[in-house]
Amino acid sequence: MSEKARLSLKAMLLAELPALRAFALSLAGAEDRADDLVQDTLVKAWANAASFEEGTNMRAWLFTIMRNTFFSQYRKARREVQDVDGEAAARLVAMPNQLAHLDLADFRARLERLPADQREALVLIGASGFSYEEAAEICGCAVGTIKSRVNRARRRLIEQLALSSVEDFAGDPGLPENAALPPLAE
Amino acid sequence: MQDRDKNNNKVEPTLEPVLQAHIGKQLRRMYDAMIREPVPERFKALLDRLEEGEAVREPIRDRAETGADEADSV
Repeated sequence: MSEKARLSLKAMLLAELPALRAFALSLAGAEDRADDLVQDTLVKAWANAASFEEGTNMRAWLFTIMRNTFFSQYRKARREVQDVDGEAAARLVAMPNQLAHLDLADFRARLERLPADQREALVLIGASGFSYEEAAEICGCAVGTIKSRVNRARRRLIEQLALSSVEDFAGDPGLPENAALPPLAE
Repeated sequence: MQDRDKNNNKVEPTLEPVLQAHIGKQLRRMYDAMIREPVPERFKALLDRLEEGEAVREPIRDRAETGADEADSV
């Protein structure tokens, strides 16, 4: 790789850091684990820079590296630690101060209890702004799989919300018309 | 948990769009808050180190373009 290309790689990675960190936080939960994930992703991206095709979506490429890293570590951790729920609960304590707002913290806790593949699909589609096709490419699965994961995640969250305090949001006047997730084209 | 899928009628159908909108909004709000968090300095430092690592492997080309600071650290 030429010096020029390498310099621009550094600049591009710097520019993607906030998005990388947000995706890492949504995948891993606790800040220290998320930051380790960002670090691993940066190192791998640098080492594999030659595999990035110029003109393609750098964020999608980085997210692919990140989620593959996360899921291979996650599978390893699952084999070692049986108490996944307990671990998840412990991680919630380490939430960043910026998210101390109760409503958001509560939502984040619910999101963390989703299976990781469903949480990932929901974040990619509902927050990161990727299309179903792009998300499928990032996750290395079929578009239909992404749709079904988003659907299951959404259903589970809806059930939990419906079972808890309906009054908290039913009359929310601040809801914009287009606040819903993009509809599933089934 | 999985069995609850069978009795989804617990959820009022008319509430569902409101709940979906709520979820979509919360999801974006959470993600936006994460995006706005300051990026730790360690990542910028890491990229600098990665760049220096490359410089060690390709000293001639790097010295030509990066100058005295780089040459001192190599």
